[in-house]
Amino acid sequence: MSVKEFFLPGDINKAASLKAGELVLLSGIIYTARDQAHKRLIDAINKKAKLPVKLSESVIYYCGPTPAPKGRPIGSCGPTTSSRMDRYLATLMKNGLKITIGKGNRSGDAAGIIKRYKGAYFVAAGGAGAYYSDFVESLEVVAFPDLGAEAIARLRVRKMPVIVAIDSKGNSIFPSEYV
Amino acid sequence: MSKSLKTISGRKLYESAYRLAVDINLNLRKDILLRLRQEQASLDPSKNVAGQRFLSILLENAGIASKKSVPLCQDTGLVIGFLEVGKGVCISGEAQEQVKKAVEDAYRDYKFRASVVNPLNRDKPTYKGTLRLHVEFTKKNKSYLTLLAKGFGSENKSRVRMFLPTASEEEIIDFVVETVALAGPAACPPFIIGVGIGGTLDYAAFLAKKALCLRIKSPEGHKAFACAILRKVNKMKMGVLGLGYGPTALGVNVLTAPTHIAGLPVAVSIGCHSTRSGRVCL
Repeated sequence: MSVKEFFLPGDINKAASLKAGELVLLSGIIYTARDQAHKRLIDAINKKAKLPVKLSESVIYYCGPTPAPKGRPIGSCGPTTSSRMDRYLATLMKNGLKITIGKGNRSGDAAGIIKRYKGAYFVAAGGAGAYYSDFVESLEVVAFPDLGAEAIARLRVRKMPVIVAIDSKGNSIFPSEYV
Repeated sequence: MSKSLKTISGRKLYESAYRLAVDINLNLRKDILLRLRQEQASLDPSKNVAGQRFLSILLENAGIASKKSVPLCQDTGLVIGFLEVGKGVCISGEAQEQVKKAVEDAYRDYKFRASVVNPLNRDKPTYKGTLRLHVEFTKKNKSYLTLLAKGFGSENKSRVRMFLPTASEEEIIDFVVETVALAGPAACPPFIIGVGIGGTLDYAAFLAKKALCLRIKSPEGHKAFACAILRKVNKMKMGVLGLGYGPTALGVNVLTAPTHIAGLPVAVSIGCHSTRSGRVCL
């Protein structure tokens, strides 16, 4: 199997070149956002307010890390269940988002939405929070600090391994019975 | 009273609970570690590179968590405690409060995640209320404390069904298998499946949770009913994190209790590949 390296945000526009099943190493900037942060992003979009991140230049990682222990930039930081964020996917992708990272299969028409906007969905290994903390070089909270672990944080990662789970043609690595 | 009661102090409970809360989040259960290692050794790595990679990541994760004191999973969960009070043992209400305090202190001190919110207004997450403690008085000679740190990726997939009293074992098995299929890759397979049968709605769920904390047997060591579930679940080929590689479940634990002539409650609790539980004798 080929291993691709993706430099972010620069390579976001290459999302359409990825194929489901490929292993990709991510380096650069990604942003954590999960349930409550998504709710607020959507509220901001509906109110036409300024967003704390530029969606077309951002990769969203569905993740709510544990606090950083002394001497490390982040604590445990594996992916959370992506399908909970599916209800917000179309709006965010319509507003420029191309790539999301999380765990598990997605529901409903997520694959169709990803195909429509020629994006990609990556899976990280669920439950491997300690492992992923070793790939994070820095963390900076950029929005919603009152949400604690659910705040939006800017992470600089280096060679973080993920698998392309849904590609820009809408192909998924998960069998249809789980979708 | 012919014999004086043995008292377990709040301090003893605090220390035991604190150590256990830390241990389960940093050290993968030995029975799971053993089974994952067996799976890694027995499968053909050339067949499914992605699946094999994720299985090795899970094993690497366990090593990093214990070596660097970083929690196995960022979802350090809500904690369910089972305090089994032995024969002739006295544990005061204040002492039980120490178990809650110990878990909250351990979570704060070790920088585990504060994941507790008011269910309706969903305000800023705190550590307060991390533990839900169940106390049972038993006929055992000793007292035990079990803690289960339950992440919600798998918790969200749990189900209870009130079957007709005339339901067959086959129907129960199918319900468990269907629950696993619905849980899917996001609930972090390979799973431990806890099944509670009988009692009432709440007691069946209580048993399912308790079942998750029991050591998993080898695939051959399962009794007929649990074995039938395990076989069917593993036919699904969901595999490690849904990538079709390795088993869908590592083990099935079933606990039963007497129930009513008019009903048959069945609860299924899904435990992830890093089900975090541990037990100490007090």
